[in-house]
Amino acid sequence: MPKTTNKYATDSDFVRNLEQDITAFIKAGTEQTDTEDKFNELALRLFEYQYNANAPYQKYCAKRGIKPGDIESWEEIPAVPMSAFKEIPLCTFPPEEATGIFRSSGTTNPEKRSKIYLNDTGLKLLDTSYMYSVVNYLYPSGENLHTLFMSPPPHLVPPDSVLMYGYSKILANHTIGDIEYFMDEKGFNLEALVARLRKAEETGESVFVISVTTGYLHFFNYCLSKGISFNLPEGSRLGDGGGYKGRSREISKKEFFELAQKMTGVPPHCLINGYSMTELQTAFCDNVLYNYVKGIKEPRYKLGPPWTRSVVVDPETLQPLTKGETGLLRHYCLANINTVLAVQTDDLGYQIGDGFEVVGRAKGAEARGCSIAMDELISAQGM
Amino acid sequence: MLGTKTSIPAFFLPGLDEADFADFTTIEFGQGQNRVRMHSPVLTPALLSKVIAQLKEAREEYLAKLPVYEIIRTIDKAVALWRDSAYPPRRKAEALLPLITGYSSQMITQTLDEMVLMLRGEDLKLLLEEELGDPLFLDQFRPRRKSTGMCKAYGPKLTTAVFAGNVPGLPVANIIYALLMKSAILGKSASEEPLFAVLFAQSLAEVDPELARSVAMVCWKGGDEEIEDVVFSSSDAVIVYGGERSVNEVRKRVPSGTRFIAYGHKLSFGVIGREYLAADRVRQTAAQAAIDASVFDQQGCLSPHVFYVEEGAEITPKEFAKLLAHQMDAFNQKIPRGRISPDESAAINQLRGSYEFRELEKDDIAILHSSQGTDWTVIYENDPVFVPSCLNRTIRVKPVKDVKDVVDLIKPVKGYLQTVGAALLEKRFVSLADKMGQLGADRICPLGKMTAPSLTWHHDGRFNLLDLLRWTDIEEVLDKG
Repeated sequence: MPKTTNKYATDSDFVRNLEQDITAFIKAGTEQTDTEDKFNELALRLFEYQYNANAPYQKYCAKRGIKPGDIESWEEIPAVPMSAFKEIPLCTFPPEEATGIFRSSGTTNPEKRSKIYLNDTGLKLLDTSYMYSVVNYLYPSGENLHTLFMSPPPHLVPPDSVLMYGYSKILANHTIGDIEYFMDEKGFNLEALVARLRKAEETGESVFVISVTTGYLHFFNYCLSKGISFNLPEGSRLGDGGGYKGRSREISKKEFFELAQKMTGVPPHCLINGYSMTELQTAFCDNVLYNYVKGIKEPRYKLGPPWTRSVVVDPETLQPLTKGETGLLRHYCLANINTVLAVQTDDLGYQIGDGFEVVGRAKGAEARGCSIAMDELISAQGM
Repeated sequence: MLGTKTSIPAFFLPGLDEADFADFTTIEFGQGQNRVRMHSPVLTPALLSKVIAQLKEAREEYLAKLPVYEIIRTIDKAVALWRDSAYPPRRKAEALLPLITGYSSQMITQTLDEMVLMLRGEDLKLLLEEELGDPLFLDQFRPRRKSTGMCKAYGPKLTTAVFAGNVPGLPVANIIYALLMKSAILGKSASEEPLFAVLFAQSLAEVDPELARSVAMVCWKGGDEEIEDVVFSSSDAVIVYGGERSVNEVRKRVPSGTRFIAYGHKLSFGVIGREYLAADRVRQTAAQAAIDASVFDQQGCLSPHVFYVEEGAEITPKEFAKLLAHQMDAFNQKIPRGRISPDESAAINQLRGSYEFRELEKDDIAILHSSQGTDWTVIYENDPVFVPSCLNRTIRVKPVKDVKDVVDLIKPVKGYLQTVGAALLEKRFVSLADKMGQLGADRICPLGKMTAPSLTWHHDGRFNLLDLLRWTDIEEVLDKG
């Protein structure tokens, strides 16, 4: 009998087969149906692997009295809070063997950023998963567009953002010519973007503008101050992600879409909000463009691909809520082969249709009383 | 269900009637079946001018002429009404404050019980004696205590207080302070809890309607310049509670000659010495620490963020953390943690998650928490650096070799120090008190009493009344003729 340590080695049959089966599942695409049994079977196998190959996770599960073989449903797999990724390497192999290390942007505290360690298998699955999860929602007709990216070009970006890694390949595959970047060491190059959008208006060639949401807010403020607006050619689309909290004020998703349409002339079904995080090797996108093209009448929300499940839990008890209730999003993702497949986020959201919608990130403890809250102290002291 | 059909006034404007109000805004608290609706008139500069004129007139004609002991008696009577658990406003407060503030009913009941014990006539007299020496300085020229001549104290004609947060009862103290100084008071309720001060003002009106005409409680949106210009320019004193940003906003709008007092956000912590960690008394020590970390769900500026526990005793700091966890649980059985926002719950769960994984790696970290929900969390960690808590009964225990090491650890937050709860024998207690005093702490108290300051406490290191009074002296010994 082989030792258990061998059974779950990264080059073991168990892991190779698991990887192949997950890859095949992902490659079957977003349109496959009746995937519950398949998902469950793979999730339980992946859990078995991660339980046995990821020592801290095993201890975490043991503390909850859960181990592979005892559970029958993916819903029982213990979810790891996002904050855990800031503390220790959570991976199924020694972290020094990682061939790709990704970090979260760590906006609140740069010292405390999530770190994800992937090996070649993990990187391959990340590629495949990103590729298959979002393409349908960004390019439902398989079309190519001019890509205008409000991000620094790759040689200026720290090579550790999972988003950049995941998205840049997809964008490259669907870009006419080269991706055009509108940010450098000095920040956004807004004048160049204005000129480029004017050119699109003249040539009638549709563009796909991609930016973090706050980048758009910055750009729109700039345009408003100059009295500029656009009427971009049909087929143009805007992709945003990352939250609606601007430097001066937070605007609602609805306000953002209204503003975006007013400033660019791009209709709502071409305004696509993306949702992704370092801890998850899959990205989610709004269904609006896909539904428009397919003639499906449904409200805007995010539809997870078949190799993911997203549930909403009570922020207080972490128990699942019923559909429609707002709570914390918890994601299960089979592409997370190297880390932990179940991730408890602190994003607030609710289940809708066959997917979910994000309301925003939990703001943390704002003191209701007169005690100083952590954030306030940090900002007051410039800590 | 109480409060779902009827709306409750979130204002106290005794001089006005329905006809004066053009429009109302409503606020709803609670969720599902347990909801309460409150309403408040939409204020205009004109309406506020009228309110202010009436307050000043009521003060001039009545309050200013009342002897101070008469005022004390009136307040004492109003407070005494609240001692009766069947008193309808008290029952209303006990039913509605949990919905409004999220605090558990047990927490609210205990708060009310403590408050009526703290605001008795004799306590108010003690406060006046403590700060003024002789309360009668407020009534007449009285001989000065040491120098020759006489003097008399005058309070503001109108005190405006901008309240914040939802530690219940705070506004009541300020209403009482103002009345003791024969000042009319215009209170701006915190939107988080606009009820209790209104109910208390109504009790004052029950006892002495004329006196209550010097009190008004209203709501307006903070930062409304038109309104605040009217209010601040008519006030002799402005008191503001709030975070740094909101305090600074108000400060900018208060005329330079007006007395301005700000109570900013503060933080507190506890220190536990070896002598209180002996096997025969450590359980009591832990119980007292649990009270401090649990009352008001840790929302008060008096609530501890961290307990520094001395090494070298019979019980180690890590063992103490376990005992504290027991006591946090016991306290929670008795007085449950209140309802908190999803954001707050999420913050606690993520914090627990990160410490749980740290604990797996290091044995100098331990995390203990309520078996369900986020009711309470005790984190033991070796790293002594002071870290503010995410509150709602989340407390860190950190070891120190010696109590005096705390001084350096606290220095980074010295501008925000409020209360230090200490379990130390007298000599070390006083020595620590001096060091903490130098760092800006304004109160060193025994463990278990952190959230229950006396009425004579120097809040934020200042006098409660004296800072607002103005004095007139008669220097000559007068010829009686």
